[in-house]
Amino acid sequence: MLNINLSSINTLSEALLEEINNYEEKTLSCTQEIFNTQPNWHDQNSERFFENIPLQKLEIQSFIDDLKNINETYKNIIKEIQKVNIDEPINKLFVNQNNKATIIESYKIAINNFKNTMQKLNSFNLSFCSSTEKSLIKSEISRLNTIITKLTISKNKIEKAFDELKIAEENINTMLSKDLISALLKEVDYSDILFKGVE
Amino acid sequence: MEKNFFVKEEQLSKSISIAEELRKESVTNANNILTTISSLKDSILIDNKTIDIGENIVIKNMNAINKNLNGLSNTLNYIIKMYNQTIDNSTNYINSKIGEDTNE
Repeated sequence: MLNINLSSINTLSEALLEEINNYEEKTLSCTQEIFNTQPNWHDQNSERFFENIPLQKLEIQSFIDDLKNINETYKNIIKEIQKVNIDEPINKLFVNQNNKATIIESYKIAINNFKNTMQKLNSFNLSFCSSTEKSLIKSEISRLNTIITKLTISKNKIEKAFDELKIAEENINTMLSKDLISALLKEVDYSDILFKGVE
Repeated sequence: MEKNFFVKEEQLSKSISIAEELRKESVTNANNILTTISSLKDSILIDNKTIDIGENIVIKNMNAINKNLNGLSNTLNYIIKMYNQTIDNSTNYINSKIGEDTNE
């Protein structure tokens, strides 16, 4: 069962990207500022210290890339949902595939009921009716026919939407597990990389 | 100590204060990122459960990076402290020697 708040993802994803960009700018500027102190300190320790800063920058950049990938995952989820062919734009999505059978069955029952009524009206002997009555019954048959057509189109659309949403749901699940695995693979213990600080 | 040992304290202090300011701002951004990622996580429920899209890894890495940046800045502060201590010790030593010489 999939429950997605697309408008919330859209807004938050934009905000997240802005924060990531700010974080990138601040952390890399901070590292650069420290690196720029090179002409101000020289002794037996300074060389090792300054040699390690570019490595620190690379690690920060790699982490920023991971953050951007997370944001990209959410954008891909939105794209996946937008592939679903529904007339109205989707802001919130709640899909319970278990409901598909019940909804489609309800449509079929309604369509059959209308068809039965129409058949009964068609089977009437109208020879004794006045022309006004005949015209009313024919107009009712035509109205029922239109309703049946509309209900059938609607039923097919809903059935198709359920199927497309099922594919979207499966794609999102794959996307999420893939990202999770790749994030786990990229996990780095940064504490081993450089200075742990001087107490 | 190497022959060409030097510490330009004033320039170093200036850079450290700029770096520390940037680091503080980056911590604010980091907290905002975590809040937003947490809210994003709540926007998707699969079978009524949220999915962790690497949130724990983000927290761990972000803490490590902030700690390392703090470490870099602390190292420079430590250098200044050591430098001042060396100067103080040398001055004290020279003064004590001057005192000894005067007393003699």
